[in-house]
Amino acid sequence: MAASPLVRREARRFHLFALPWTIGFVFFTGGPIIVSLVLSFTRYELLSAPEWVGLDNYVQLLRDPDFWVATRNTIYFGAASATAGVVYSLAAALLLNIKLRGQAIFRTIIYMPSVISGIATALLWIHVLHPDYGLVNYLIGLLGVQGPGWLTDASWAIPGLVIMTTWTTGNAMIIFLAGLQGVPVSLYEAAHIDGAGWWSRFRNVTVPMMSPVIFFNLVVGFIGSLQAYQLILFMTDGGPANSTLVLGLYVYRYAFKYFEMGYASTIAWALFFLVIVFTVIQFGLARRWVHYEVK
Amino acid sequence: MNNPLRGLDTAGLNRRQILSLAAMAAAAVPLSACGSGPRTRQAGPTSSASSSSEVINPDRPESALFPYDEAEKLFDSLPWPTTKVPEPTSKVTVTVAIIPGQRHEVRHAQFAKFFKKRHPNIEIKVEVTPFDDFRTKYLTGAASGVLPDVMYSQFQWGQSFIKNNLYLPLDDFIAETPDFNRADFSKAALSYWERDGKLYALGTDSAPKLLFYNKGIFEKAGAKVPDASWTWDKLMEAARGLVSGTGAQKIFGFTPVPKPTSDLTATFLLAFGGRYLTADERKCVIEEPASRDVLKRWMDLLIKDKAMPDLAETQATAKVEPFTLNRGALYVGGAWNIVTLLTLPAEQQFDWSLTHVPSGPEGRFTPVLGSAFGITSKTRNPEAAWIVLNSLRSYAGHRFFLDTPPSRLSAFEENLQALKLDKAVIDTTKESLHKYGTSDGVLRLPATPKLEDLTKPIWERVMSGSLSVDEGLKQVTERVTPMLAENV
Repeated sequence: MAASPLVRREARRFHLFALPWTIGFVFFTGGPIIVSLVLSFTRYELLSAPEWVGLDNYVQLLRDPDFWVATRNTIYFGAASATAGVVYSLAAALLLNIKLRGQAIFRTIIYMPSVISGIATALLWIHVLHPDYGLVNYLIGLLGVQGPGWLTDASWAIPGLVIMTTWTTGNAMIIFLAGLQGVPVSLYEAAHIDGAGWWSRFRNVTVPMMSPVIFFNLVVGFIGSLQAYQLILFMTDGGPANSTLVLGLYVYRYAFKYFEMGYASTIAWALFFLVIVFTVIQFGLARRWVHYEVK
Repeated sequence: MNNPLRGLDTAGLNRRQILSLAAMAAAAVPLSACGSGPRTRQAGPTSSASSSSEVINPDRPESALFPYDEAEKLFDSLPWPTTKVPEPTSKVTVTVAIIPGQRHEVRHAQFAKFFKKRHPNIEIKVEVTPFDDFRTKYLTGAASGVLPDVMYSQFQWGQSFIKNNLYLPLDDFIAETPDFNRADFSKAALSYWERDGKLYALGTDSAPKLLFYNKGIFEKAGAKVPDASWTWDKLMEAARGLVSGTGAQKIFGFTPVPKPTSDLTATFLLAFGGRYLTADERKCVIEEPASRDVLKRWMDLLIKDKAMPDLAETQATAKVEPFTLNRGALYVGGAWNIVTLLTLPAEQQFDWSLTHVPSGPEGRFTPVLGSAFGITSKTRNPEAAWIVLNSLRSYAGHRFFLDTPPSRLSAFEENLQALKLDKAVIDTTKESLHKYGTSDGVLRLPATPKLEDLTKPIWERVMSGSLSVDEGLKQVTERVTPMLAENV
C-alpha cells in the first residue's frame, strides 16, 4: 500500500532535520573510522603516501612489549576508575537525595569538578597528590601513616589517577540522582512497614531498582576510562617507568609525536576491540544482577 | 513516578535497549580520542621565554623590554643586508611561524613594521604557536599542503623537516646574495640544518652548555667555587659535599641527572671516551665500558649519595630546574639560561656565576644547540621569503633580536655585552663555543622523539634503583637498536 502524502511529508521532514547529524556522522565520525581501519593496514608517515603493509602492523603490535604494558594499564585503570566512580557517585547521589536546606548548594559543589577545565584539574591534583606537601598525604599522615609517592611511585601512580578521576564523576552522580528520584516511594514505605532498616532498604530496594542505572554508569564509565589519555598525558606522560602508559596515550604518541599514522590506527583498533570485549562481558554479566521493570 | 528515562519508552524501546544503545554509541568513539591535548613542556634552547599576555598594538608594537622608539632607532641604525633576489613587484604577504615568548612576539611585530619601510611590497604576517604544539601543527599542515612561508625549527626537528621536504634548500638564494657570509655561522650552528651538502635553514641562537654554580651555596658550605681547572671527578666529589636538607628545603649537589636523551653523549660521555650512538646514529654503543662506567658513577651519585633529584624530587620542583629555584649548587645548562637567570623576578634572584664544563680523561666537550628559520617548500613567494629570512638572520637581525648567544659570530660579543654580563662570563661562553663546542653526539635523526620515549621508562627504573645500570643499558640497547634502522 502506498504511503499517504502526510506520511511522505513527515518522512521528508524527518530526513531533512536528520541531515545535519547524518552529514556530521559521515564526515566526522563514520568516515574517519573507516579511513583509520584502512590506514591500520598501511605504513603512513603523514607526509608521504600510505604504503600497504597488510597485517604487518598487527603482527608488530602483538610483539610490541609496550603495547601489552599499555593494555594491562588500560584495563587496570579502566576497571578501577569505573568502579570507584560508580561507588563514589552513587554514594554522593544518595547523600544529595536527602531533603535538607541548602541541598542545591551541595549538589552544585559536588557537580562542580565535572565542569572545571581538565588542565586546571590536573594542576590541582598534581599538588593535592604531592608526596611531601599534598593534601592526601597530609590527611593520611594524621592517621600516623606515611603516604606513598602518588604519581612518582610506579605502584601508586594509577591509584593516584583513579582518585583524581573519581573526583570528576559529577555527570554519573546526576544520572544516579535522577534514577533515585524515580524509585517508587511506595516500595520504601512497604519495606519500612516490614521493619527493614536503612541498609536493608538500600540493599533490597534501592540497588535492584537502580541496577539499570548502575549498569549504565558502569558501562559508560568503563568505556570512558579505557579511552582516557589527556589528563594522563599532562600529569605523568605515561610515567614513571611506563606505569601509567595507557592505550589512548599510546595512540596519541604514535599519531602526533612520531607521526606513524598507520601504527597509531592499529593501536586505536586494538583499543576499540578491547572496549567491545569488555562491554560484551559486562552485558553478559548484567543478566545476573540488573533488574528491569520492563522486559 | 518521576523517571527521567521513561519518556523515551514511548518510542518503542525499553530502558535496557536504551542503555544498550547508549553504551554501544559510546563504544564507537575510541578512534576520535586522538585530538590535540595538553602536553608537558619540552625542554628546548628557546623554550624558556615566557609567553606574553599583552596585546600587541600592530601600529606601535612595544613592551617594557622593547620600547617602540628605541626599537625603531636601533632598527634604522643597523646595516641590513641586500640581495640580487628581486623584490616583488606587487604586494605579497610572507607568513613567519614562530614560537611564543615576550622577546619573540613583540620583537617580531616591530621587525615586521620596520621591515616594510625598506621593502614596501612585503607584508610580514607573524603566526605564533606554542613550542609543544608547533611540530604537530605544522607537520599536519604540511600533510594537507599548507605551510607558512618562513618557519621556525628546533635543532632536534631539523633533519626530520628536511627529510620530509618541508624546507627549501637555501643554496640558490645564497648564491644570489654576494654579501652573505656563510663562515659567519659556526660549523655546529649550521650542522643541524645541512643534508647532502645543502643548507636548509639559518640559525637564531647557537648555545654551548656551561657549568653554572650558586655562589651562596658554595659560600655557606665553605667550599671553593668551580673554575676551568675542574674535572668531572672533582665535580662529583663537590656535589656529594654540597647536598643538604630534605623535602622542600633540600639543596641538590648537581643537576641534571644524565639520561639517554638528545645530548647525553656530548654532555656526559665524550669526556670519558664514551658514546650513546655512533656518529651516524645507526648503532647503539651505550653498553660499552667507557659509557657504562661513567653512567654507573652518576647513578651512584643519585641513588647512594642522593646528590641529584630523584623522580619524586623532580616532581616536587614541578619539573622546574632546581638551580633556577636557588636549590642547586651546580648545574650544567645551556647558555640560553643566562637570560632566564637574569630575568628572574627580584624576589627569586640569587648570586650565580658560570664557568667551563669540567674536563675528563679524553678532554673537554660541550654540546652546541640552537634553533633556526627556513623557507618552507609550500611557500608561494620564495623570493620574498628569502628577502625576509636573509634580513631576519643577518648580523643586523641577530642584533635586533638579541639572540643569546647568536648563531652569527659577528654579533656574538655585542649581544652578550647588551645583557651587561661580566667579561669573564662572555669570554667563557665564547671559548666554550669555539674551542670545544660540538654538535657530535647530539641526537638529530627522525627517530629521536620515539627513541627518547622508548628509553625513558627503562632509565626511570634505573634511577629508582629497581634495575641495575648494566641491565638498564642492555635493555636500552635492545630497544634502541631496531629503531635505528628508521634513520637510514
